[in-house]
Amino acid sequence: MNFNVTARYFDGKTSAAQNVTVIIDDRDVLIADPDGEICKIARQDLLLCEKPETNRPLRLRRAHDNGMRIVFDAQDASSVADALRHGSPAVAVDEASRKSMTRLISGIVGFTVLVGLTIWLGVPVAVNIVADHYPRQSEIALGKAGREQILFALEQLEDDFAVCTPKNAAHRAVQQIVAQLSSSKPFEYDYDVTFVRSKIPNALALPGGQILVFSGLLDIMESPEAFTGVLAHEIGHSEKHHGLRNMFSNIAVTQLIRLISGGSATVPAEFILQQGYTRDMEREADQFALETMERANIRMTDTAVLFGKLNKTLKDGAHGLDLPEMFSSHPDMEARIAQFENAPSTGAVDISDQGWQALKSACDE
Amino acid sequence: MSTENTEPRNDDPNKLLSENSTSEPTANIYDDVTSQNTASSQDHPVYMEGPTTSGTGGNEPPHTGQPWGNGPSDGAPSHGQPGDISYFGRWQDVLKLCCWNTLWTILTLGIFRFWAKTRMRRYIWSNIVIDGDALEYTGRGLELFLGFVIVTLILVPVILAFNFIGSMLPAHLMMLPMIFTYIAVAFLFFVATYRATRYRYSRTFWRGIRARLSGSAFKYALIGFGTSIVTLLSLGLLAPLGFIATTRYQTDNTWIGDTQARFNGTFGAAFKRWFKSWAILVLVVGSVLALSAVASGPSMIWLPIAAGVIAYFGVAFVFLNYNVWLFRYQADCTEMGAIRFSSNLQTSQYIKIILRFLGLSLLLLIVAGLLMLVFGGFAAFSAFNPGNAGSPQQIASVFIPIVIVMLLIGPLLSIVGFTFMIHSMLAADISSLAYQGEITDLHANAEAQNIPRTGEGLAEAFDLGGI
Repeated sequence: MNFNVTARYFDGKTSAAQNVTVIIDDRDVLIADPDGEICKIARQDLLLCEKPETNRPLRLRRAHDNGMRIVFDAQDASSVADALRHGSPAVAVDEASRKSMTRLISGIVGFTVLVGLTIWLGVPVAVNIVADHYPRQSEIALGKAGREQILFALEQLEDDFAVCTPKNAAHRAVQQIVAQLSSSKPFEYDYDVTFVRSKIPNALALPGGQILVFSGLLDIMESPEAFTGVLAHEIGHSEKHHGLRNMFSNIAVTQLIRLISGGSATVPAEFILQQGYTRDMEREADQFALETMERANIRMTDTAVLFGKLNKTLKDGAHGLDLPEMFSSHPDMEARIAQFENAPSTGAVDISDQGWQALKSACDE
Repeated sequence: MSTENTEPRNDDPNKLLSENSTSEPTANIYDDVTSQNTASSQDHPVYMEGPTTSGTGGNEPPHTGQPWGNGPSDGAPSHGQPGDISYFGRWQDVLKLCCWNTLWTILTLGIFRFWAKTRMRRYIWSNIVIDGDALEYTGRGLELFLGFVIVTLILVPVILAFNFIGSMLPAHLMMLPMIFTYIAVAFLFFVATYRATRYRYSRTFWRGIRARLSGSAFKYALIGFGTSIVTLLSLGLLAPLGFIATTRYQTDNTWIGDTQARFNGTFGAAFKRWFKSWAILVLVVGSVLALSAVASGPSMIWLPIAAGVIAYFGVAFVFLNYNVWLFRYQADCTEMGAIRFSSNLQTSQYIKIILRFLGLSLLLLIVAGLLMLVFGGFAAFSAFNPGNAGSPQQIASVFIPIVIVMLLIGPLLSIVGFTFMIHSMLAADISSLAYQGEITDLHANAEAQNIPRTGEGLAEAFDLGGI
């Protein structure tokens, strides 16, 4: 089927037009100028300059653009567009042919997968390198600043929240426990435990040796060994620079997502990190606690009992959304408790009963 | 040359939009212009010589203005006849395209935005008609995307390194990298703008001839950054210096084929106009401050607030008025070969557009509020009925509609903003333009054209939005 139509032809070298006759057949587009010279362009080498619209002129160019343009008058535009678009191969607007759309969609999917892999595999490696080389003094300063911020935030959230002022005996007890834990292998940081009054049974580790223990957790502790288990776990977070790693991963993932989406989508990075990083960190901190307590020969059954209680609280859902941070990302709580239950150490913590009482009542009026 | 006294023409963009939307939606407005430029509209138009066919015939089409200089009664086509630069984009098309683009951008987590921008540009360019032929945009989404990826690969390590260095410095020096970053970003902003313009020009064709921006983005940034600092130090008094210097550099480096543009605006003329605006600005801010100092006491508290609100609108008007003047001045002072430009843009056009946008946004917010009230509120009523309180499903039925409305409102506002602010202003700008002089044949520049292979990376990274 041949389709004949007149058109204006621009050669791409000057803006002057030539009157030509265009013949559209199944495979090619032939252009004849008034002298009868013919130039043949294959359909696949042609593109529409824009989407055909009624009563608008239609323009064609080469896929490898050399400035050549064929302009069809508005009244011929729709029939020309039909002839061009319904042949095989169809002539389409750049990036709008079916082939291009398929390529575009698979490209976008591929790119998204690539970025996903970068977040999943690349970011942890990069973050570990940065965290390992981050200066310790800065990390300690960061931890102190972080503690102040968290205390301020908690104060706004909970009415009867307060920073407790325990007796000196409690501080001494904490130092004794830390000393016992680090007796065979010294810790990288000096540990500073802050007790806070809050109903939430929780404990937090911040970078550089800052640890927060909530009175809600103290209340359900039966023995100094249970406290030691929690402390060792939190020390594990600090020693492994989890706070820093979390911070850097957050920055990296947030920036990556912002870049990809052009700042339009602000998916909370925590949501993505929760799936992998945090869980691994809890496992690592547990492992650290198990090893450290075994070296110091402190029994871990009391810690297991404490975790069991917390697990029950969690299942009962008594606290609703107030999931303690150290348990919130643990689907395998039972396995975790079993680890502590089956630990071989049988020794006790080397503090006086008076010290333990001072610790336990750190937040009592 | 002042355009203050020019009769307002009938190509008011609002009118253009409303005419397209109401009277004859399928009317062949484009054809009108084409036939206007065609000696005999029954024959197929031959555009051997642009200007010979660019007569304004007796059948005045609806969207071409009164010719600049000569009256319309001339009738006869002749060389050097003034012509309009027309814009035929319709808000309905833009709205439709905008909605599709937004949908795809959301579905692809934002990556589609490069292709979305390309589609919109292709539409806008193809509706800017000069002497019967539309501009053409040949850029590709892939080019924008690659440009963005390249810049990201360079920029991300630099940003991370800066953060790292910043955290290593002692406390009293920690501000240093931040200050340096701000300065670098301000400088790179100009580089990015120029590079993005270069890319857009290189993908712009008219009658098969490519536009081009020569010159160096670095030099442009030096000029822009330097004059910004001068403006800052002079408390804004010398603001026209930046505009004149950057516009001159950019215009003098603008080419279509082998024809170079020239800007002959002067600092003196712009300053004369700006000084009035600046003086009003200083006066207004000064008097509001003085008023708030005098009006102390609880009974007088409304006075500085009311004065502040009035002053805000006053200042906004002064700025708008100055910028509209600046646009006209820029058009008047721009030459392209034998062609001179002019514009009859009026502040009232912009004010109408802004008021319409504000009205539409308000309407959108009211509708969103009502929807939230109806769905969320009704569910809340049933959820917190006595004896029926608070199952998770019921709480969800309250929050889900609210969340959906909140998620929708951002994209919807940006669609309305683009369609009824950015696009309308662009339509007003372009339709206000006219040219005088003979459009001679352009020739493609045969030299190596320094055509960027990828687009706008830096501008994308800075999220320099717009078109």
